Amino acid sequence: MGIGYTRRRLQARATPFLLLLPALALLTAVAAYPLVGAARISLLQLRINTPEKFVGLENYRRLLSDPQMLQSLGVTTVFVLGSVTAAIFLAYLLALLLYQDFPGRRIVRTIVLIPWALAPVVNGIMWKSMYAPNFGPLNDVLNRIGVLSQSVSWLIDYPMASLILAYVWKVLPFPTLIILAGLEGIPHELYEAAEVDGAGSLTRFRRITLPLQRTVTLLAVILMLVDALHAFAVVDILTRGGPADRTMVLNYAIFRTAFRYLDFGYGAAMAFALTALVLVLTFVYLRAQSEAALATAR
Amino acid sequence: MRSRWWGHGVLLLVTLLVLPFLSGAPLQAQQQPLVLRVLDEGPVGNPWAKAASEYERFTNGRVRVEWISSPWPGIQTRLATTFAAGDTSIDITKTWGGWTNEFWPFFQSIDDKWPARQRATLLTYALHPVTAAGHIYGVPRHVTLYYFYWNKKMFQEAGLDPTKPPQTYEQLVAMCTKLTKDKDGDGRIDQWGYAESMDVASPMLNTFERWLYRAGGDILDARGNPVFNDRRGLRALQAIYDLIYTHKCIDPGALQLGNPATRQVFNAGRVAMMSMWGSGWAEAQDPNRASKDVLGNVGVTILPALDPAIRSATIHGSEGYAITKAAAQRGVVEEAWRLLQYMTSRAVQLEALKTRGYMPPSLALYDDPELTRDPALAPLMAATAEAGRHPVKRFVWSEYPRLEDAIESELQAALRGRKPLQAALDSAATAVARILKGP
Amino acid sequence: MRRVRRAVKLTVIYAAVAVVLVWALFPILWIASSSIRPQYEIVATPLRYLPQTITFQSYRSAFTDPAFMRSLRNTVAVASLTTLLALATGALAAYAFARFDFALKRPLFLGVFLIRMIPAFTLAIPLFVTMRTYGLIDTIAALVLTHTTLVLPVSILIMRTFFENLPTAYEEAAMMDGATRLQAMTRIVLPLSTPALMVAAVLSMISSWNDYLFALLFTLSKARTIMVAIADVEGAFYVDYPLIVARGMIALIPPVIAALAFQRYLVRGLTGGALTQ
Repeated sequence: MGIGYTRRRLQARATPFLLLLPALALLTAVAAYPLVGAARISLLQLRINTPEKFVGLENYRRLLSDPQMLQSLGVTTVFVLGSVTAAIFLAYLLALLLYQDFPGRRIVRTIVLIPWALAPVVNGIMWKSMYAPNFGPLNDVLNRIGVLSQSVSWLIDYPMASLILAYVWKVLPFPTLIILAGLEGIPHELYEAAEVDGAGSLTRFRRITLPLQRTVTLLAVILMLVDALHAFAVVDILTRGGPADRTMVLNYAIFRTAFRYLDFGYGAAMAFALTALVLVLTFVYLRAQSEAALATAR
Repeated sequence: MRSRWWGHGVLLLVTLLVLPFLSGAPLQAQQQPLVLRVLDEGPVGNPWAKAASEYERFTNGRVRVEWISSPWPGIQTRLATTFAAGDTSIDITKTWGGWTNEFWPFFQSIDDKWPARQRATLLTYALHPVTAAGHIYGVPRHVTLYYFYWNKKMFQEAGLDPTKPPQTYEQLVAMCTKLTKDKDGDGRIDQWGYAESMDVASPMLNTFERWLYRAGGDILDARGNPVFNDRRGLRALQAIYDLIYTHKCIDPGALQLGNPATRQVFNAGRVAMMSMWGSGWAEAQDPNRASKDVLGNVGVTILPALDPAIRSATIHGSEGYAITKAAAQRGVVEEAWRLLQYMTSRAVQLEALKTRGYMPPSLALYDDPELTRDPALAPLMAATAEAGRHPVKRFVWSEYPRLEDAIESELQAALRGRKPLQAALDSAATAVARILKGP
Repeated sequence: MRRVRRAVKLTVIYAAVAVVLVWALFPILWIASSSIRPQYEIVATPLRYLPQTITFQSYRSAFTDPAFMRSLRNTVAVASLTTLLALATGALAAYAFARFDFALKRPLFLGVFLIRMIPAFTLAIPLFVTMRTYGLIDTIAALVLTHTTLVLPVSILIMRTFFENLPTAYEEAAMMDGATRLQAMTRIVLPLSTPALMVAAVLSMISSWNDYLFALLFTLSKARTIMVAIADVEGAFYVDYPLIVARGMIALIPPVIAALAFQRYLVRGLTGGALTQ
């Protein structure tokens, strides 16, 4: 008791902060100021050729009356929901395959990562060529196997689906890796015990894998959500938001406002509005998830 | 146990963190050369980058040119950030009409360096893209126009006279339809009559403009009101639409092809005629890009007429270099100016023309017998001179990107058949009027 | 019976693997083929998947370009430093978030994650100003700091999730035996979480490797990285696609080698099998 006790308690209290120190120091030094800076910019009328002017919440008010915003919001929702659903579903299939033990597994696991490492600009050029009308491999293959009889202009007629495919193809390794790491964390003994009890592989997947993978799946969903919201390169090269704004996702609209129209203040306001929206949605999603978890626990 | 691995990791981390600082230790040079920083595309296939490094040798190392390479679309992002942050690391930047109009307050005017007499030796339209608010902010390095190209071999195969490209829209339609074929009889067309870039990135507004000027129309009238939705604008858009859907001799897939892809299909012999920048000519001569059926079989001329009263019209571009205000702050404007004079000298213009088909801004070169008699250059030189006798203009505005996006969005809807042409033009005009009025 | 089942299972697996390989490799092989043949070939009729004329000119010119090779070295340095820094600082922070209850825990965590939520363009200009103030423009350090900061929130979230899934019994036992917190973490938790560390490491490496925006804005010519170098032949009037693709293929080599090396750690920790939830 006495002094020793207090010191130990103090130490115990300080430990988390000491552990956090390096990361927080880095984040504060590099990101805190820019974050505040960006927030300040969102309150300014900051165009490149005119002196900056403080306009308060004017930029945010402008957001509400901007028809483009509403349209972009719809486009973003479709893009994000579409790509996250597709990515998580495919990632599960892929992770379950890569989890199996087979000769050559390590090589296959590495090859599967390649699309993720491909330079975004090359990914864009590649998909542009894949989707090319008449002479693109996609049209060619579908024509040869008889699925299509005429060639399709993918980026004109199905811009959103084409964009989602190109995006999901590139990022798929990321959720796969997370889910695979989660699977690796499940003790083998559980499966073995279930197998002894006569459970089929589907039952084992439903009764053991899925419940134990809850947090990991949640993690993959959230990270994919954030990544899909920030998709840029693929939009920039494949559609530039077109045709006729049908793929104008918010992140691209923000880039366009700030760096093409040089309207930095409004661009920053758009970014903060988007961030607030995402935070709220994430929060609601986590809430719903934990309530669902409580319900199943009961 | 594993802790060993961890310990090594930490050691490695520390070493690696310290390394860059060690290797960056200043090596005292005897005489510091004057550094000029140039923001431009990469040095590969860039005659001006080559000229800049020659200039270093020419000054015996007194001047060093640091070439800051960026992909073309990245230059705008860089300029915006650099200027918005008040940074001074760029002395000279590549510019064109759009950037000159956006960024001129950050450029150094060079009116006083450049006597009118000297400026008069350039094509008049070469100077527009480096001029803003009545001042000259840059030195043009090459001019760019749209030309009409045709494949003579395909003309012959279709029973057309290979020396007679279309001169009117009616001729274009007739030839285009004749040249569109299903050669292998599988029910799918594998040779299209005509192509021009309609992709957003290229940008599509340019395509519309070329037809609009040939219909006698304009984007804005003299008072700055949008007028491209009048009957001339409709005539222009209808002309493109009809080639795709009525005459069916442009591949509807062309809506997703940009300039490079359009050149590619033309050079592979999939398309018989195209409208393209001068780079179309350079690539059609390149055995790495043009198939053997195309190589040596390409003709170039001015764009065909749309309105019978107007023989032709095209859009010009010119690209050049601007000196920034940062260079003025550093007191190196004089040096930068000297470098630019070297980089745009006659010899460099010739090299750029011969290696990559960049058209020179100097008037005198168009009468130079060395060039006008060179069979690899003469047709392009003649077409450029001829085009200069017809209206050559291009819509540029300080809000160009915003206007461009607003117009293109509607043009795309119209050409995809999702909106009546007049309605699309009208809503584009409304959007443009709103942007010009300001927020 | 068992052997037959095993054989059937392997057949099914290899069939699935074949599908996966076509999915992952077909587009890449297609575009890679365009870097070794003349440009007109990839739009020829009928479409030919195998090159008729092969030329390695683009690869030769990429490998003999000193500026490009320097950008490759720069990128290797930036990506490996980012990975190490993000992993080291991230693991400590994630451990704190996973195992301790402390004041301001939630707001701190949200604050950290907020940095990743903001679209990167918005941070570009203020961050540029910061880097300029520190005198870091055109240095590797500027990119390492930026990339680490941007990837840190995500790698903290990943590691925290996996740490939380790990039972505390082992650390408690070790601390009973006199180990300090840090020792308990480095000797017990980290080895047991190698799959999570590997995910965080690959994530940091690849996001740093693939960054174009900050590489473009924060470097001039000395610290230029490969994502800017790959595309710098994309001019307004002149685009050398075979060279862009060739450079892109070369840029794939280091991350693939690294991923192959990391594979070893994507298996459970030593005693993972003995754990019960």
